[in-house]
Amino acid sequence: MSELDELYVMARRVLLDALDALGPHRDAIVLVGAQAVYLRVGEADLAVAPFTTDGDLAIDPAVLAEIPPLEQALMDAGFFPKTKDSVGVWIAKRTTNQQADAEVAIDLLVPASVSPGAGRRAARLPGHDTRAARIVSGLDGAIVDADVMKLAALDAGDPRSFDIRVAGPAALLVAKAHKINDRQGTGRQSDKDALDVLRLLRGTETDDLAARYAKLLADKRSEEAAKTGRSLLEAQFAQRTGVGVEMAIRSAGALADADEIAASCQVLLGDLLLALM
Amino acid sequence: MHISDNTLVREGLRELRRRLPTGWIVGEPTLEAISGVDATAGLVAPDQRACTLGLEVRARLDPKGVRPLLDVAARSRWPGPLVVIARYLSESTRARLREGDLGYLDLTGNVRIVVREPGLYIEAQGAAEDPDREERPARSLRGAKAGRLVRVLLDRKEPPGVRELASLTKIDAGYVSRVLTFLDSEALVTRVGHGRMQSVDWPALLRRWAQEAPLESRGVQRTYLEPRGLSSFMARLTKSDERYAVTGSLAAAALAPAAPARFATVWVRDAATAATRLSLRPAESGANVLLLEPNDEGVFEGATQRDGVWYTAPSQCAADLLTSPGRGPAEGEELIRWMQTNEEAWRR
Repeated sequence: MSELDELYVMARRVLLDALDALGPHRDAIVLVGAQAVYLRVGEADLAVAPFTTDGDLAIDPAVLAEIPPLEQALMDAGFFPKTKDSVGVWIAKRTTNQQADAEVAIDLLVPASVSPGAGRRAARLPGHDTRAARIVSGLDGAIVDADVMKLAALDAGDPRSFDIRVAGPAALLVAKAHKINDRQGTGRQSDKDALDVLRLLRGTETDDLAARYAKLLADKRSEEAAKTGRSLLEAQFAQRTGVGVEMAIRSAGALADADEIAASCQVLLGDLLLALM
Repeated sequence: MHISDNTLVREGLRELRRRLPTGWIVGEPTLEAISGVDATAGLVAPDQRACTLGLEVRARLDPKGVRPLLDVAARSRWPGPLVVIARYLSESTRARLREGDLGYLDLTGNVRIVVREPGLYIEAQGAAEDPDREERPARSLRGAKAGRLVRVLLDRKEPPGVRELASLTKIDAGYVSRVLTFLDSEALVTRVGHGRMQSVDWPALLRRWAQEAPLESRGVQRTYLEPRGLSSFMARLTKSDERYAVTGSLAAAALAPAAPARFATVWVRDAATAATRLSLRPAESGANVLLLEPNDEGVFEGATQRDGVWYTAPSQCAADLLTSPGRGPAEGEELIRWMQTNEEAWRR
């Protein structure tokens, strides 16, 4: 097993550790981010590292109970805040087969439209530590477009699996568009986010994607994020010169043909926009 | 004037009679070479006005031969209309004859005769291609029939006889025999005794065929985009009930080691129909699927199904790869190496 593969297996194990620790709150949690994309659509013929080691969990405050406090549940299971100022970033330390120390992060995220805290970062969930979870824009679809899926370990020796809500492809698409936009020009931009957009477009039939997207547009909680997301996606992926297309090409690198990546983005996003008209 | 020319003139005039307007008569030819032309024939109009056609007979006439023929015609000082009769005249030969103001007539029905007195104008289209082209000795492996024949020679462990080859390929035995003579002279097959084939140097034959009949000469190519990627495309193929066969890198990868394929190359009967059914978009840049309409159905011969997808026979795939762009030729050679070490797996 390569070191990279081992990190993926470890990342999934830590994600399961976190879900195990958050047991009583599991109904309020939706898996989002790269692990959700991978669970939904796999690699989609883009043989580039499909996910980072982070596990992203969205929290629906309307469902979340006050007890036990999130921070207590996580710290009891060996997680600790990344830094004393960090908000919503929980770290687990593990050792690889080569005895190297590895840190795996679990991010607790609250969609902006449903966050009780109105500040810039801290979600301020009642009953939980101020820094337990942070506000994220564009993630609102995750509490509208999600399905229960089985999340299992990636190594045969770990028998655990959880039935957990996983964000649907439309919610993930909107979240990625916002993330690309928010990070553009900040130095925290990651080309891989654009490749995830293409993976979602490739791996989901247009009818299904459009129906899910329509649901986001019709729900008050996700309407605004979805509307903005649609404009962002069009600007990022509908033209050859769109920033998303360029990021996807860079991310796919030498393993894929640049023109094919570009044409695929344009065609599939065009299909979606047409289906939403 | 040869006997065969004699036959040619009579057949040519028969052809002309079929095309004359009602009441017109063309007489039997006079074959003595008088006044410098090969033959003559009388032409009578319904009102009994008449003239004599001068006939120049050529078993074969290529465009290059028209100029000397015009010189012959000029020297003959034949006063009346002149008509060239040949077994077959290609479009470019006919164009040059028209420019030189010579009438013509071939046995496939290409006719142009202009007579001023009595006034007659006949122009008709016959065959666009020489129907007897194969009567010429085989000199290459270009063309659909040669391809079909080569495939059988490649795929059979025991070289079949001429008659068996003819029936397997539905090609007439005369042509099969001529191709075998050619292959023998090129040392691509070994024959013993009365021409019985003993062995086929299949790797050499395969490379020679690929070289003489490159992929682009064997069909029409169209490029498409499957925006969802090749896995999606292959999944759709498993549900297709049209006739198709995947060739190129994807087909080779199942047998010989290869880098992941980025391009699907598939033989289909009708590219436009297949593209619609497989949800492909026509694409000039960024294409990942190449659909090929074959000149001959032989490309589907020996296709096998793996995981629900139809793939061409290894010999077909190797020939296709050897003249494909990019890594194709290298992958073709890799496949030939696999075929050499695993002969029992594909030669029957």
